[in-house]
Amino acid sequence: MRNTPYINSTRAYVKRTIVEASLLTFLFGAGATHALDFNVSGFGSIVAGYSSGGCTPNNTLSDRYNASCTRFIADWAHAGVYNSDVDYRPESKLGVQGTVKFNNSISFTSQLVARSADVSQIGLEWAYLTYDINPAWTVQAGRKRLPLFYYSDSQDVGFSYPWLRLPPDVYGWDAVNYNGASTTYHKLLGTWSLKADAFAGNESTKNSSYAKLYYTEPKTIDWTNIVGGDLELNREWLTFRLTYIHSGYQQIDQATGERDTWPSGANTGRQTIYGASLNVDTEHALVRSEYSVFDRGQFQYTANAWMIGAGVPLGKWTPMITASGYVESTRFPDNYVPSNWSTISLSVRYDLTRSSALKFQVDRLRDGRNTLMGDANMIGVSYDFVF
Amino acid sequence: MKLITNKILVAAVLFSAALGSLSTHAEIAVIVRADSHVPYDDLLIEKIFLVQTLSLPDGSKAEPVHQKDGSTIHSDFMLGLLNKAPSFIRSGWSKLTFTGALKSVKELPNDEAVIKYVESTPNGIGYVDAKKVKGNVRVIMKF
Repeated sequence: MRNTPYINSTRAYVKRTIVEASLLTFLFGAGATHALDFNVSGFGSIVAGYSSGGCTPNNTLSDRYNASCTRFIADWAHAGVYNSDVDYRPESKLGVQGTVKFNNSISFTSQLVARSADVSQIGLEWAYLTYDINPAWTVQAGRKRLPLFYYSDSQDVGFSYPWLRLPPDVYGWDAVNYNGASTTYHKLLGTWSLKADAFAGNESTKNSSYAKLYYTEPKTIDWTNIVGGDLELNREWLTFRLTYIHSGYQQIDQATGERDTWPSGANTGRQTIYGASLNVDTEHALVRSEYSVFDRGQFQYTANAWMIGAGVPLGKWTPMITASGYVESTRFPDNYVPSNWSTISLSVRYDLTRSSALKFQVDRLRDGRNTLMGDANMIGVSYDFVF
Repeated sequence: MKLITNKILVAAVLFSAALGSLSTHAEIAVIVRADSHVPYDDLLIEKIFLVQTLSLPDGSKAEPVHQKDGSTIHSDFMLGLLNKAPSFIRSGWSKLTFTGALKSVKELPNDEAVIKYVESTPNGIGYVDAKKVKGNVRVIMKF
């Protein structure tokens, strides 16, 4: 029984690779033979680091992360975890994005990302058709990024943000993309520009990397009947964003094919996610802040996550100080131990060229109950580029 | 003591000259087709080049063209248009690029190509070195 999921996943991987290869051939072929408007760009990050500090052997992470006495979860969605050895694998990545314009209103966009944290597969992050109905309204259908947070859309593009990594206390969940459709509306309201999205779809993650943090056995995590919306307002130096998502949620044990039971006793549930973000950018200051609630309270826990950071652009240098935290509460204390922790980060970005940056960051994480990952200090350097 | 003061003065002058030379750039002109009647203002121009709106006041669609990302004129233009730190503009631009937001924006390699595009596109709007402006276009903003 144990081998079945592996065989399935290999098959799925081969199948996926073939689909991706044909997609690329289609894209490049179309671009070459019909002289369609075709555009390729890419991005990458080489990140190295290690954690040190408190030694917490008896934690609730899965056994594969318990060997070292410190650990720092840098990327929850892709199980990028550092321990006390210097490692480049948890966060290094390379991505390519292609857009082909069929005419003035229809285009196709695809993005592939290879991660050293998960060398077994190249992720098809995006593959969607865009139809611009008019200058104000756009519809898109296909595989898209879930707009959970302000930086969700560019979360793999290290060059697009000031830190070495997006604060994992906020940016780290068990779904990243979805298959479905969305519509976007742009409008100028006086000196404000408004962008609003509404979307619906589904996401099923086999061999969930997020679940690997907690379980030895392979799990599939499903977000079903996702519906949501987000709204972004921008004026000169201020950006304000609101988001709301509702979906069904279940976790399937791949060996047995059965749904896992939640602390409430049920084996499915519904989750509501909402959040806000406020950002400031002037010539002399930058502020990033984000607040997010994952309400899985009906069956497991409610998580409140927050982040606030401030920096000063000094020519090519952008030093920044950021505080973040994550707090769970539960209605089922007999069956679930809620986690909480907080982090202070000091980071500096140095813009090497117009398309590359070096970053250095130290993080000090304190695990409230010292039961999940344990206290950790993290040191990391990165080289981010776009092309 | 006087010598030291003089040295400091000289250093200060050199330093500000160096800073000054960093911030000066060739004058940039924003151009549209000569027969365009669109009432552009600074805010609309900014929002169009940031792809925050492509709707023109008459309901038709703006057709902006940028110069090549990474070129001097592209960064000078973005710096002049927005009162923000260069590092923010570069990182913000990459956020737009990789969210697919720029898919509807054309990018051309030089002033001549931009002028040609604007001349032949009714709602075209682009930017070029102010000294290179020629042909059937009109300058609507300079900085």
